[in-house]
Amino acid sequence: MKRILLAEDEEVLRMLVVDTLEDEDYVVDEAADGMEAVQLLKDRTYDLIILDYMMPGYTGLEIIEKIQSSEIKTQGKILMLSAKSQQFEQDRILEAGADYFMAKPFSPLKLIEKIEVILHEAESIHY
Amino acid sequence: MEKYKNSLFGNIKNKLSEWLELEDAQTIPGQEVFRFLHSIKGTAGTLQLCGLMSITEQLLDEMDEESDRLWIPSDLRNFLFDLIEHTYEYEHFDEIEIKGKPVRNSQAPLIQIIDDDISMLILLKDILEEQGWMVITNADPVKATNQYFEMQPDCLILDIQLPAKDGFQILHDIHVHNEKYFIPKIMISIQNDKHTRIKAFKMGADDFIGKPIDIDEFIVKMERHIQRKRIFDQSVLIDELTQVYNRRFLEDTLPRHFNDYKRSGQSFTISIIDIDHFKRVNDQYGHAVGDFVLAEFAQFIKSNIRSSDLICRYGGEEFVLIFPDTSNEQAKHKLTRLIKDFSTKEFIHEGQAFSITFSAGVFTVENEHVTPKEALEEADTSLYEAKRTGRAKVESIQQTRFNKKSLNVSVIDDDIIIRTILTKELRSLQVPHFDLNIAVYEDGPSFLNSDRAKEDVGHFLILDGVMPIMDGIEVLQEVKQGSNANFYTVLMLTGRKSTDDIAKALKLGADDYVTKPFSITELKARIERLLTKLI
Repeated sequence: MKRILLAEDEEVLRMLVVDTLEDEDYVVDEAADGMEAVQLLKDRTYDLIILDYMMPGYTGLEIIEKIQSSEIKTQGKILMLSAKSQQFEQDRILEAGADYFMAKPFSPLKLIEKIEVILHEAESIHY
Repeated sequence: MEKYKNSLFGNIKNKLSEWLELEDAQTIPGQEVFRFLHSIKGTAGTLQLCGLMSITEQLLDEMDEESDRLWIPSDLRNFLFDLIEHTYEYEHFDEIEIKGKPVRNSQAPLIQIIDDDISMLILLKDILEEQGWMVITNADPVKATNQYFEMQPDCLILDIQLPAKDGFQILHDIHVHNEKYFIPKIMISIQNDKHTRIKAFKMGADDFIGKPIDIDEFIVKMERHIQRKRIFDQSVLIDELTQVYNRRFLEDTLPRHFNDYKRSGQSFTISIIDIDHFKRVNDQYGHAVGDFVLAEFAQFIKSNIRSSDLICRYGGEEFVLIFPDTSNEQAKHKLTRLIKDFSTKEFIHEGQAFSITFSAGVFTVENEHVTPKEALEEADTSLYEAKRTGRAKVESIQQTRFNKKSLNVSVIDDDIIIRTILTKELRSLQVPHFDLNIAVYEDGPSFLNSDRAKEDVGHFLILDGVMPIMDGIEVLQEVKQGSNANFYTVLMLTGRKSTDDIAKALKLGADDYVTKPFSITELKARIERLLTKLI
């Protein structure tokens, strides 16, 4: 079973995404801010890490920095969520080290589709 | 999705309440506000709440993410008002309900119901309001009779069996008024025998409906009565030649405008207009052409003023205009425009073209001591001045003083969102020459212990029926037992299902009630109506 970390400070959106992912039989750990996310990342590994761009504690980018600098060791793919949907913002986020990007607002179904593609890609590289 | 939407709005409401309840000395960092709006926007989009998304988007556009601004609560309240209102509306309505329900405005036909059977009263009020009419109710016959004279409803529904004074006695009391004004009066009664019916009709009832009432038939009958009232108002008092109101109508209606002004302080403007050199038209082209010009002139004016404005033929080629809620400057501006436009109109008689001009005298009523007669004289003097100084123009002699009356308006509600919305709406009310002194209280005791509760000035109270600590009924009771009870006009906000509360409120002397949830537009119309009519 795939394990996903979801770091998103907006409670209702987090609820919605968690419920949707759990319906698809993923195991989901939730973090309500950057601090919680970092703590969880230190404790275990994930197949996919979904980070909100703007969060209290650490922002999504700051968490990526920590991963890049090996302060946190993780193998998982990183999907960044952001309402900053302009191309240069997207490029900046991908350059900083996120593997994927999803613009807010998104429909839960699209998110599931995207996650399936990501995890499938990850598998095909593996084998 | 419903679950997530409710949670989202719940969270928004909590956050807003938290901010709105802060003291003015405290501040809220702009970045916190920005983050809050930003995250709502994202979630709103995902949940397909388009209205919410566009409101937050707009607010974000007006903000600067990096700014170090610190908001004081009152500024933030203004800034976030659309969001506050939207949250209220989401909480209290689903969209279907809003669409299905006509929103009443302050021009809607006004129906008065007098019945001591409270559940019947509530039922009829609900049914009639669903038709888009405004309903005032009263269980106390003495108070109701006063209200009848003050409000002059478009239709009266009257139960025969009442305590203290029965329906027949009320008919008798308003008998004098009936001779001059046509207001359809519908008697309802459980006593449906021939003798009672005949007595009702003999005493001036226009209709008799036995209880139990058949709702469908009742609605159709009411529609007819209101329609007849409208047609009557328009027909008997209309000048045959020009098809505008006649002098008799003016004489009937003018005192009413003055009474309204005394109650509301809402100034209005009277104008006398007169066609220039009308005698020459008659002499040169004959009386038939003269009549044609008169009729054309009246129709021109009528079709170029607002529906709330009035034109009456005063005599000969002289007409009186009444512009409610209009300042001297506005009326002058409007008339200048009309004079200019009318002068370009071409009349053709036997191949010969000619044009006509008119002059106007204007007088604005903003002083309680002016009588209708004096006002017309003043306007006439101004008209003379316009004629004397060249014609085809407007003149006015303006009064210099008026007395501003003070009116306390207090809102008592434990819900910060409702308090915030009402405060803002009350501030935007157009009640000129009234000093609206608005204050809000979150519970009964803090109002009752305040100094203003005891002041001997007009007091308009908007009171939530259900509150912790002390509920609205108890507050109403205290107010109505106070030494200055007569200064109070009370509008109760009650739950839809709480028949007992409505009954208690009316018995205790509430002047009106609105059931929750209410639309803001509608509540505003009701407040405006009560403010202008009752006070």
